[in-house]
Amino acid sequence: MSKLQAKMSEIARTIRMSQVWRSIFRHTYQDTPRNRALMILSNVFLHLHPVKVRPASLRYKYTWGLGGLSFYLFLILTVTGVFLMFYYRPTVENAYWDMKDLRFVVPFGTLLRNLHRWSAHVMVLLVMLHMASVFYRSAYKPPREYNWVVGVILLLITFLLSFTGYLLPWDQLAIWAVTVGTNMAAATPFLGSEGPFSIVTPESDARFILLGSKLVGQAGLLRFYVLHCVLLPLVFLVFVSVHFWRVRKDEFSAVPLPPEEERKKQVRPEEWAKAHPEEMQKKVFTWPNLVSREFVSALVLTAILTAWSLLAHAPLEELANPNKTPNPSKAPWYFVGLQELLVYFDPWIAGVVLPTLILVGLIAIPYLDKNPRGVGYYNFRDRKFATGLFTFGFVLWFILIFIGYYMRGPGWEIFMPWEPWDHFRAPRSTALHSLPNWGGFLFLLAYAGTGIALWKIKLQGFFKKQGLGPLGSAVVIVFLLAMFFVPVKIILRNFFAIKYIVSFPAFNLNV
Amino acid sequence: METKMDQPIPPPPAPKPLAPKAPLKSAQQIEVDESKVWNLWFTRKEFLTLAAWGCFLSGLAGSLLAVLRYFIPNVSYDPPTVFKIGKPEEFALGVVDERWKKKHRIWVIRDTAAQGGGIFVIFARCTHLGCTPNWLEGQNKFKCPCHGSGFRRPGINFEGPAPRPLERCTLALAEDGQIQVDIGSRFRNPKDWNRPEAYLKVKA
Amino acid sequence: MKRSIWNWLFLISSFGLGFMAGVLLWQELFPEWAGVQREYNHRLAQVTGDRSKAWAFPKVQQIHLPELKRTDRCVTCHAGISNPKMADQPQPFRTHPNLGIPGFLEKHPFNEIGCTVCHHGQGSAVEKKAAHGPVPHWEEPLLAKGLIVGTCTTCHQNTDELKGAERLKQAMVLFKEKGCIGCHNLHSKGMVVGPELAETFTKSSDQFDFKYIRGEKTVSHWVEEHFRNPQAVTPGYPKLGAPETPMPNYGLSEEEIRLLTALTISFSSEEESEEHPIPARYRVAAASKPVEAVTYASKVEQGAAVFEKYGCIGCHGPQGRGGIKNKNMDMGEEVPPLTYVSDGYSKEEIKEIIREGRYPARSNREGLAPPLWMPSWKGKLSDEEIDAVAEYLFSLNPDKPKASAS
Repeated sequence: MSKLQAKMSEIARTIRMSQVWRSIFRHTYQDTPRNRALMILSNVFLHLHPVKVRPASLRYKYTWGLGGLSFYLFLILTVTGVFLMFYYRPTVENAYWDMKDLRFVVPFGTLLRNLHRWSAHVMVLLVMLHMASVFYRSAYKPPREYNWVVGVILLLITFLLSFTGYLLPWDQLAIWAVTVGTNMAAATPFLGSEGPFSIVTPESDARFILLGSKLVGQAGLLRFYVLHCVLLPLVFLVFVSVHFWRVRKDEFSAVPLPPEEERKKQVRPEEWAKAHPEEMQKKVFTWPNLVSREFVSALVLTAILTAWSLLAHAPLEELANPNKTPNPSKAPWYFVGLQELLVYFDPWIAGVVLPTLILVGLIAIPYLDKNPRGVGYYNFRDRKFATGLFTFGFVLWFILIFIGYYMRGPGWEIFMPWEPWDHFRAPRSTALHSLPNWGGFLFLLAYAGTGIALWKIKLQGFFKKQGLGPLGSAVVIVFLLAMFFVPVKIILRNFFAIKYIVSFPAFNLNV
Repeated sequence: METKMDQPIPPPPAPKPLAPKAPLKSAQQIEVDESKVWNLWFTRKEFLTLAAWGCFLSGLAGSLLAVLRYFIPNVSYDPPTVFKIGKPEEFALGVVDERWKKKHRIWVIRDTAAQGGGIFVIFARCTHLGCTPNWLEGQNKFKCPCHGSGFRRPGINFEGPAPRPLERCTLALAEDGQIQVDIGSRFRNPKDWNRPEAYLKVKA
Repeated sequence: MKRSIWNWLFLISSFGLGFMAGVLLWQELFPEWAGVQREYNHRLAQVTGDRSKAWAFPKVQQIHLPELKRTDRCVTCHAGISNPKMADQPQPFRTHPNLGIPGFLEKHPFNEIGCTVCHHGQGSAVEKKAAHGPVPHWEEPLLAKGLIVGTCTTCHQNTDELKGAERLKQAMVLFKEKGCIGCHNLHSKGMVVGPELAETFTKSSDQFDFKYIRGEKTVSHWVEEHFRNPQAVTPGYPKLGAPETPMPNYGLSEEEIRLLTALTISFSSEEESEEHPIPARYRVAAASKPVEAVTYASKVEQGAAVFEKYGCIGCHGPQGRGGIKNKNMDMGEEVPPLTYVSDGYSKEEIKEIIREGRYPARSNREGLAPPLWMPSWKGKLSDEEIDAVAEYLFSLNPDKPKASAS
C-alpha cells in the first residue's frame, strides 16, 4: 500500500468512525451474514421484504415479477406525472397547447410524455397478466382470498387512472373517448338519466357527477385532472399498501414442490411433514439474492420503456372539437373490448352491467373456488373447471380487444387488419330484426334452462365434492351463464341478424 | 463481540461443469447458486461489470441533470421587453410622466432645458426588494410603500433601506420618430446615466 | 467465467441505458433548429460585416399570440424575415418578400400577426417536418405559394379592391364563368348537388376520399386534382348509391386550377373566421359601398345577368350551350342545351318550367338516379327576373331575329 493509499484509507476510516456518519449509517457494508440481514431490516423501503426467502420463490418463471414490475411502473408514472404537471394546465384553452409545448420546446418533454403514456399502457397490460398469473398459481386460495379482492380493486383503479388520464391532452381522442365513456355512465340503471328505470335527471345523474356539466368541457377536465393526479393515486397507494402487507403476512405463496410432491403433501399432510422434517426451512438472504433479481428486472423494463419512448411518439390528435367526431372514434386498447361489446349490447349492458359482473365475478372467485389443490404452483390438471372458465373469459376479453383494435374501421365496419381504411366502402351490415318479446322470453328461459340442465347433469356432483353449497353453486351457474351469453349474443347477431332478444324501448330496457 | 454473523462471506466456489439435468427432488435440495447474482456486485473487479455500473451511475447522474434542465424551457412567454412609447414632443417638460407606469412599469421624465434638456426612463422597481414605488408629486420624490425607501427625481436613493438608485432603461429613437425603450437592458450606475442610450437629448 | 442470464441482462440493459442517455444528450445539444440558426448567424455576419453576430447563442424564437390562439415558432429557423439585408439569401434565411405592395409589411407586422394565419402550417413546432407538414393529425399543412392568397379573407372581409389579392378577383371571374354556384352552395346560397364550398377546408379530412390521389394526401392537393379530372377523383360509389361526379372536366390550365383552389381556400377562411372569430382589431371591414341600383340596357341583358348569378351556367353551360353530362337521364345523357328553346316552347311554358322545376326520370330503371335536376325557382327568383331569363333564353336562338324587348 502506497503512502497515498494509506492516507486515503486513514481519511475514509475517520469519516466512517465520525458521529455524523454513524448516525446515518448504522451498519458497515462488509459482506457478512449480519450485514446482509441488516441491509434489509434497517432500510425503510427494503424492509418490505423478509430478511430471508425461500429459494423457490426466486425462480423467475414463477411470477415473472409481474406484481413488482406493476408497482415499479406505478412509481415511474408518478414521477413522470409529477414532472409533467409543471407544464400542463388543465384548462380547455391551454391543455392541448401545453402538450405541444412539451413536445417541441421543453427539454426532454417528449421523452417524459412518451414514458408516461407507454408506462401506463404497459402497466395496464402487466396488471392483467399479474392477475392471470396469480390465478393460475392458485395464489388466491385460503388464506389469501382477501388479497385477491384488494387486487381486483387495484385493477379497477388502474383502469380508472388510465381513463381519467386520457382526457387530459384535450385532443380529439380524449374528448370523444370520454364522451362515449360518460354516456355509458348515463346508461347506468337507476342512477343514469338514460338507463332503464332511471330515477335521476341529466343534471344530477352519474354522468353529471363525473363531468360537472352536461357537456364534456372545462368542468369535466378539471375533475378528471384532480381524480387522475390526486384522488386515484392516493386511493391506489392505500390499497397497494394493504396488498403488500397481506403478501408479507401470508408469505409468498411460492411453495413450488414438484407436482407429485405437492399432491402428496396436500393429500396426506401429516405423513409428508413427518417424512420431510427439514422441509422448507432452508432459506436464503433476500440481500442480495432477491433484491438483485428485482433490480435487474426493473432495469430491463426501464431500458425497454426508454427505448420505446425514444422511438415511438405517443400520439396527439387534433385539438378537441365538439363539432367533429373522428371516424372511427376508438377508445384506448384496454377499453376497446368493451366498445366492441357495444355492437352487440345496449350501453347499459355493455358499459355497466357486464363490467360490473366481470368485477364482481373476479372478486367472487376465491369464495367460489373450493378446490384446495394447486396452491403455489402452476397446476391445470387438478383444477380443470376453474382454469377452463377463467381462461375462456380471459381469452374472450383479449379477442374482443383484438377485434375492436385491429379489425374495426370507419363506421365500425369490419376491415381485415391488412385492408386500408376506406371511408367510402359500401357497408357490409345487413338489416337487423329483433325477436318478438314472447319469443325472446322463451329463448332466455331456454338459456337459463340449459344452465340448470348443465348443473344437474354434469356439475352437481362436482360442486358437492368441492363443498360448494346450493347458494355457491347457483352463483357459479349464474356467472357461467352470463359469461357465455356474450358469445351467444355475438352469434345471434352475426349469423341470425338478431338485434334484441327482448325489447322495452319505453323503459330503455333492451337485451 | 464478533460472532459467525460478522465473518465476511467467502466468494462462492467455481460453478460445477454442466452435469446432465437431474430431476428435481424435494424443496430442501434446491440450492441457490449465488454465482448467478454474484457478478452483479461491483466488489467483483471485473471490467464489464464495472463498466456497466459506470453506465448505470452516469445514467442516473444524467437523469438528475436532465431533470434540472427540464425546468428551463426553450421559450419564454414573458412579454417583449422592447416597445415604443410615443414621440418626445408628447411628453411635457419637467414632468414625471406616469402614462406607461401601469402597462410597462416605467416613468418617463423629461428634463427642462435647465435640467439637461433630455428624456430618460426610470424602471419602477424598488432596488430594495422589488416593489413598485409611487411618485409623490407633492413631495417631489419616489416613495416605496413596502419598506419606505425614498428616491429623488433623478432616481437617487436617499432614505429607507434601498441600497442603490432606481435603474434607467436603454433608449433609442426609432425611424418613425418614436422613443423606443428596452427595459431588458438597464443602467444601474449613475455614471452611465449620461450616455446617449440612457439620456435622449431632444430639441425643445 | 460463466455469466448467468441475470448478469447478461444487467450488462445489456446498463449499456443500453447508457447509450440512450448519450443519444438523448446529443439530441438535446444539437437540435435541428440550432444548426439552422447557426448558419443564419454566419450568413448575417457576412452580410452585415459584423463578426460578433456569427456567434450568437441559438435560441428558440416565438411569436406568442393569445388573441389568435396560436404561438408561431417559424422565426426560429426563418430568422431573416424582418431583416431587409437578407433578401438575396436562400430559404430559410430570406427576407419576407414585399409582394410588390407598398406598405404591405408595415401593415402586417410579424409580431402581431405571426405566420400561420396566412401560411398555415404547425406554428408550435420547431422541427421542419412537423412545422411544414403534412403530418398526421395536423389538418393545416403549409400552403403552396400560389394558394396563400386564399387566407386573406381571414381578416379582410372584402378582397375585391385589395392590393395583392388580385388573383382572388381573377378566380372569382372564373367562378362566375363556370357557374359553380349552379351545383355547389356557398355560404348556404346555391344548389345542393355538390357540397358546400366554404366547408371544404373546415370539415374533417376523412370526408375526402384519397384513394385516387397521387402525391400528398392533403385537402388542397385533393381539390387541385379534383379540378384536373373530377371523374378520376370521385368516380362514384355505385354500391352506396352515389353516382359518378357530374362535375364537368373544364380542361383548366394549371394556373386556373391554382386560382380556383386559392378561391376555395378563401371561402373556408371566411367561414372559419366566423366560427372562431378573430379579434375585432384584426378585422378589416368591407368598405361600405353605396348599393348601386343596377340598371340594365334591356331585359335580355338582365336575363343574362340572372342566368349567371344563379349559376344556370353550371348545368346548362355558357350561353345555354349545354354539354354537361347527366348520366342516366331520360332525355339523353346530357343536360338539355337551351339555345333552341324558343323553337319548341312558348315563353309561358319556359317560365312555368323555371318556376316549378323538373326532376328527370331515369332512362335505365335499374341504374342510379341522374345527379342533376332542374330546381324550382319559385320564390327564389322574382317574377321580373323569371321574365328576364325567359327573354334571354329566347334571344339565344341564332335563327330567330333579335326581337327587341324592353
